[in-house]
Amino acid sequence: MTMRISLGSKIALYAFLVIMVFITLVPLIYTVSASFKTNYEIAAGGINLIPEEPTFDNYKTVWGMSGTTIDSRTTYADYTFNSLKVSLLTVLLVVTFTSMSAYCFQRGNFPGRKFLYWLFLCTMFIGAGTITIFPVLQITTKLKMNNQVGLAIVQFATAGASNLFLTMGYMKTITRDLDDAAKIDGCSFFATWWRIILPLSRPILATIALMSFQSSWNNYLLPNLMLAGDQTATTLVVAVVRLQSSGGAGASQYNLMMAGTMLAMLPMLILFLCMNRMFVEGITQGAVKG
Amino acid sequence: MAEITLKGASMTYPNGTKALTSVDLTVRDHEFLVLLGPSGCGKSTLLRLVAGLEKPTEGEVLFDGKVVNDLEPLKRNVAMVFQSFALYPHLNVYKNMAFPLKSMKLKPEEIQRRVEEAAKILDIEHVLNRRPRVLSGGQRQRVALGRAMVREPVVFLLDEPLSNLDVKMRLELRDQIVSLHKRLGTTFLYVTHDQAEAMQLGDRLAVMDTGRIVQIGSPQEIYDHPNSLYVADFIGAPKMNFFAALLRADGPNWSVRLLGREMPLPPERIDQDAALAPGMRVVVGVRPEDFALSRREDAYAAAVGQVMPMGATQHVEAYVGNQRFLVSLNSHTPVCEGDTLRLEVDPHTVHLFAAEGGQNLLLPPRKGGKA
Amino acid sequence: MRRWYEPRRDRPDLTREAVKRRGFLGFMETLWREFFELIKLNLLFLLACVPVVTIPAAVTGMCGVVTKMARDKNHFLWPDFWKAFKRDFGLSLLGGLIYAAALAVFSVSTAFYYRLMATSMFFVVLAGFSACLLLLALCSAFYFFPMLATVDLPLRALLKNALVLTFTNYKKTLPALGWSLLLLVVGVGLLPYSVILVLFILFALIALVNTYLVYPAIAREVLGESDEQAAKAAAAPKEAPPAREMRSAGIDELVFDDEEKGGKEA
Repeated sequence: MTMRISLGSKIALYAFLVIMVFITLVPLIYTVSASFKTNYEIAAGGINLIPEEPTFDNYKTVWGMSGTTIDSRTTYADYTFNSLKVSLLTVLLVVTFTSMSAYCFQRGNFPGRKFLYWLFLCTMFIGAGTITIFPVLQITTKLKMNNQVGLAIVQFATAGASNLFLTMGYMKTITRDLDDAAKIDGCSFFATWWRIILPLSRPILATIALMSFQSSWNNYLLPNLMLAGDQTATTLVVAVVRLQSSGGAGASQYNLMMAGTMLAMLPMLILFLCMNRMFVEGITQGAVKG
Repeated sequence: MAEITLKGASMTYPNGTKALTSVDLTVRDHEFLVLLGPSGCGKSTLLRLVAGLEKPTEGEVLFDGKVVNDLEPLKRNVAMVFQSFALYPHLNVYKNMAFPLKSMKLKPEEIQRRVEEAAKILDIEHVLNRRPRVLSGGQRQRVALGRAMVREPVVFLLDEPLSNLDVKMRLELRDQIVSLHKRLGTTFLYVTHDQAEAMQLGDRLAVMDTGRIVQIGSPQEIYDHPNSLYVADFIGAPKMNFFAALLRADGPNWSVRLLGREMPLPPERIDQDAALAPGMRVVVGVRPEDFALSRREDAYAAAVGQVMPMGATQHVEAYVGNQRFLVSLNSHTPVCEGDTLRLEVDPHTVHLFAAEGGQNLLLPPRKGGKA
Repeated sequence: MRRWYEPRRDRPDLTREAVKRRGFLGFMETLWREFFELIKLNLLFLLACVPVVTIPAAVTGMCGVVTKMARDKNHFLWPDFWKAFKRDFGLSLLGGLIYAAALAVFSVSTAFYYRLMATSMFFVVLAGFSACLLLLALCSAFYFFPMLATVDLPLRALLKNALVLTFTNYKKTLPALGWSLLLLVVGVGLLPYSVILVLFILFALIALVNTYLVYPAIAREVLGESDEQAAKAAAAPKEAPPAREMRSAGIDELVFDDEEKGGKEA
């Protein structure tokens, strides 16, 4: 359904889009270029997108550099791996349990189903990031769960409901005929999920995985509070922020901060690129012959 | 190969709809039985009961005399073909067909042998490595048939498999299904709402109406002697003509007033057990092809309305008084709008139904037995 | 909303001709269709290479799967890999050792003569000669491993076949060599940055490219399959007559008397 847009409107539209893209991208481009500059060049000011003396030193320093004033043993490499560990664990939990519970709610028939569903619906409106932070911390501390695994579990739990509804909505579009065919072909309830529904839900699970990874990676508040007890376990985002606000060695080293930010962003970027292909496979409708 | 029996099977859904009411049916071994009826009459529900996808709320389902109410579909060894094909979209054709065999835990060599054999019969060998979404509708339905075939089931269940195909593919696949039945000899239970399809495919036909089986018999039997108004209306294209009349008694014989003239009913066709009463309201049914041109003096004089040529025959809309009906004549008879046709009807081919209850009050024309 | 896997009703039949696409386009189709399978296969291959002694068997296993992909036949990833891996473990180990030895010897000799090249023409020729032998050994490996995965022959016959086919099928061998070297250079040369490429798809992709180019020759010469045979098998009268409508001969099936006699109208 394409509307005919007059030439003037088209020009205005494109101009608007270009401006928006520009506004969005310029900080990013500046960050990228600044991460290759020496500190002298950054401090000199001006908007030079191409550094005069491009250097990889920033990255090397940041990667090998120890953390903040708090702990001199952990490096940014460690922080990155911490973030990766927590995020991957969160994604694993989210995908597994969301697909299982969405299937049970959608296709299952057990007493209390409607009640549980209603309960989930209610929890969705309670923003877990802010209102419940204190109770969550209390519980996890008392249960000795304020470590990386506990963090993953809490992150998974708080994102639960909206992911669940997304997945349920998608599963609703999978026709029941497939369930019937699978049942006749000898699949139990669980086998139907594992062999039929799960593969077919790949697009929505990819979406959920991506969203969970992103929110977990970029999460600042929860890791900051929950992992406060163990400095070696800090995640990357928290570390970068600490670098900025510590006032110690890194305070005026903008080049290092830029490099650090780039490092923090890079995995997300790669992930988007990889997942994009899975989305494409999901979305092409018969455009491929054979 | 198995004989399937339903004894007093009833099915009521949790929300209260009564899908089946006390159905008794025996599908004989090796036969091709067609369940025919409009949407919502319960034929798909009956099929699902046989398949094991639903449990009857009352009654029993028996395979070869054994009660299988609680047996799961895999153990019953039934195979089902769906209207929407229900192929697993994320698997290629080979894996689709191998899916039930993997559940049955067969060896890979055996699976390969069965899949390739079925693919050869159904002419889908060249697409074994492709996903269903690149196949045509007819090919997809053949894959579904293949998936059912490789299980070597005791009964094939087909739920309106041809409804989603275009006309050309429908005809091709119809022949394929018939030749498959001849080749395999398995019991086939086929559900459809298309009566032309039912007539062509079935050894026996079971006509259903709102959860009950109304008539079972061979297609020709049902065509020649529908046992109720409902079946008479459903079977036959073009539809049977119905005339309201009152039953008259002439001494020991009965007659009805059809299109303004008395038509005596042949005594050998009167069903002695039927409750006939003089003055009873009846519906006279005459098929369009049972009207014949006549030279007799007492033939009906009908004014011609529209004429629709159909190739070998022509459908002529005729009027006697303000009674409108359809006549099917040979297309070589010159008829045009405004003509007057002289028609006659053989009382031996006429059907008579009670207005209340709709049952057929006459016996079948040739033999003396009941339908 | 129509989902990605939901079929469209208005497709025509997928005929045999449409399925038989060969050449570059056919390869791209296969690649697109099996893309994720290749990624999984690569990971499996790398995993199977971890105990170093299993490397040749892992290559055979990978070839077992890739030959099925190249022939457009259905494959089951783990069962087919494991079958090819396990069944010929000894043979592939022997073959692998022979090839490793050959490659080592030829590359050492090439390097040796290369260093001496400046001194005299003779060494240039020798260097060239050993370089050719090196390439020959490499190319015959392209034939050896797929054959090992699909055909049941003793080691000597396999090696002989591999060598012979490398020469007689040069039209396919050279492109195979070219593509493999290109992919290898791109993958390994850009290594710190192309680690994802190497990890996830490089080896399986090389195997697929090689097998795709090379397998038809193997099938033709060694297995004796051929297009004519396949066509004959397809045209052979099937057991059951194909379904056709109830009618007399269709327009295309009519036979006139004068055609049978072979005579032409005057």
